[in-house]
Parts: sequence; structure tokens; C-alpha cells
Amino acid sequence: MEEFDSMNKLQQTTNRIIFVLSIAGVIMAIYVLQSFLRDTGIVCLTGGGCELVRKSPVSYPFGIPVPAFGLVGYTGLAILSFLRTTKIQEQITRNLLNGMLGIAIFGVCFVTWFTVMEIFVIQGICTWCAVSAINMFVIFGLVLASWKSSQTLPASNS
Amino acid sequence: MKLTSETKMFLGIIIGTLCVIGVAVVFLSQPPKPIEKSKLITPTTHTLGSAEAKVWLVEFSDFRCPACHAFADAVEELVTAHKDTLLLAYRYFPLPQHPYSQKAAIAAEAAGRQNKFWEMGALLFNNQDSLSDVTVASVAASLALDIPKFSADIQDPALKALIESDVAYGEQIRITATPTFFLNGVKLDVGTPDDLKQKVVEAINNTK
Repeated sequence: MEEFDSMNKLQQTTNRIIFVLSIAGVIMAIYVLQSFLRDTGIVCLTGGGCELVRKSPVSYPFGIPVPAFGLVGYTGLAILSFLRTTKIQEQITRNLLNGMLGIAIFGVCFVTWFTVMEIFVIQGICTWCAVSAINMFVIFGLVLASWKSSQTLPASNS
Repeated sequence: MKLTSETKMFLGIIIGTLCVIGVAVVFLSQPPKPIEKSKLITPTTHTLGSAEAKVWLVEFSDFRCPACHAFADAVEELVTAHKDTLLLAYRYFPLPQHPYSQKAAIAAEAAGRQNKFWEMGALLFNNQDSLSDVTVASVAASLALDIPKFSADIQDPALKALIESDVAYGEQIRITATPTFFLNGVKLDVGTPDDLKQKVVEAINNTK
């Protein structure tokens, strides 16, 4: 079986940052999701913005609380970035990065849509959503850079 | 699949994160302790209903907050329907993002010195989109307040200090939004005025 030591130093560093940011995203998403599910208040730096967002029907697309989308997305990113650290076949490791890029693209589209909804429909900004949106954009930038770099990375057998 | 040293480091982070989440889940699962009545209803707090009622509802509110206005009718209905079994208390929590909300609170407190707090509060809510010194003066006149006294009271620093002490206490008990209700000392999470009415009525029925 051909195995692939998938990452050079730069990619390794990028993957570490993506992993840590994804874990941070998971923690934020769990905190906000438990508040949505238990109907309890959220500690918020933007006054009553978090409560406005939590109580708005816009925050439940298809009946699913918005932080659940974040939880699934960040968990997916964390798992894929974790799997990239293992020694596996070249094609698989490339697919992992493709998968991360797919999640990150969906993530930035989703947070952009939701931020627009917050500003123009809900008329309240939730601190956690704003931080999560920035987090997702940073992850997207890192995944994109990593993906571009992988396109030029020569395959190596171990 | 082989585990590299990088994989092991990531695994360590995952395990650490799971531990943190586990501790947080246990911590957040604890039921909140009710706040003592004497802390939520102070001698300066405006109240309606029966002082002996076993059920007491405290509202932290802002006269410029649309949600507070939306809940105002429900609160009034509750007090009217259960005046012998419910005590309502109003605490100020003017939000900084709402212009004129602190001045509106001061105006209500000044009207309170002439025993017209609740009447002033209702009119402030009804005019919340156009509150200004002119509107407040007009509202004060419509309530037949002693205008020179009202104007002097509005300038009294003690009133501003009282509003600020309500806000400081609200922040101390982690209020982040308005309206925030406490039913018998327990913070309520209500999405609609009907939710509020249902919870208060349940509490009243449970005391019978």
C-alpha cells in the first residue's frame, strides 16, 4: 500500500492552527447550543444581542438551531484535520483536504448569510456568532492556502 | 493508518477538550439557586399587587426596549387578574444601546415621587419610539403632575444613582437582556408574553 507523509512543515503548522480553531469552534457551538436547547441565557458582550438572536425564528433554519450547524461543521473540520496527521494513502489525504475545503466553503457561506440576517432581520448581534464567523473565515483562509499548497506538493512514498 | 507524534498530540488536545466539556456540562446542569426576595425587591423598588402574595414576579426592564413593551400588557393583565395572589416589582435596566432609556427611567422615578410611576411607565412604553425631553414633558402634563417638582426631581442626582444601582445589581446577577423576569427568585426564560402568563399562572395555581 502506498502511504503518503502528506504535509510539509508549513502545511503541518497550518493544520495545527486549523485544528485548534476548530476545537475552539466546537466549544463555542456547544455552549451556544446548550443555551438554545435549554432555553437559558447566554453571556453576551453585545448587550441583549445574543438573546435577540436566540429567540428569533431566523436562528432555527429548517427547525434546527443555528449552533447545531456550527457544531457539525467544526467537528467535521477537527476530525479531518486530525486524520491528516496520520500516515495514510496519498489519495485519502488529498480527499481529506478536499473535504475540509468543502466544509469551510459551506461554513463561510453559512456565517455570511447568518450575519446578514442578524444585521438586517434580527437587528441584533450575538458575540459568539460574530466570533464564530471570524473563526470560520480564518479557517477557510488557512484551508484554502493549504489546499493550494497541496496542489504543488510532490507526492512522496514512505 | 499509523499514529504519528503529531496524531498523538492532537489526541491529547481532543481528550483535554472532552474533559473541559464534561466539567462544563456538569456545572451547567446544576439548577439555579433562587435569589432572595429582599435582594430583588428593595425598599425603593416599585411594586403592584399584594405584598403578602406567595408568588412574586420581578421584571428588569427598559422603557425603550420593544420587547419590554410587548410584555407590558401581559404583565398588566397578570397583576389585574391576580392582584391578591401576585406581587409585581419593576427594576430598571436601561440598555446603553437605547438612546434616552436612562432619562426615561429617571422620568418614571420622578413620577413615582408623585405616586404616578406605573402610569408614567405605561405612557413611556406607548411613546417609546419618540421619547425626548418634549415628549416626557407632555406625558408629565397629561398625568397632571406637579411640573415644577417633576422638573426639579429629574435633575436630582439621587434618581440617576438609583437607576444605576439597579443596573449594577442587574449586571451582578448576570442580566444580559431586557425584559428579564424572576419568578419567586428564579430567572425565567420566556420567549413570548403567553409563556410568561403560563408560568406565572402555574406558580399561582401551585400555591393554592
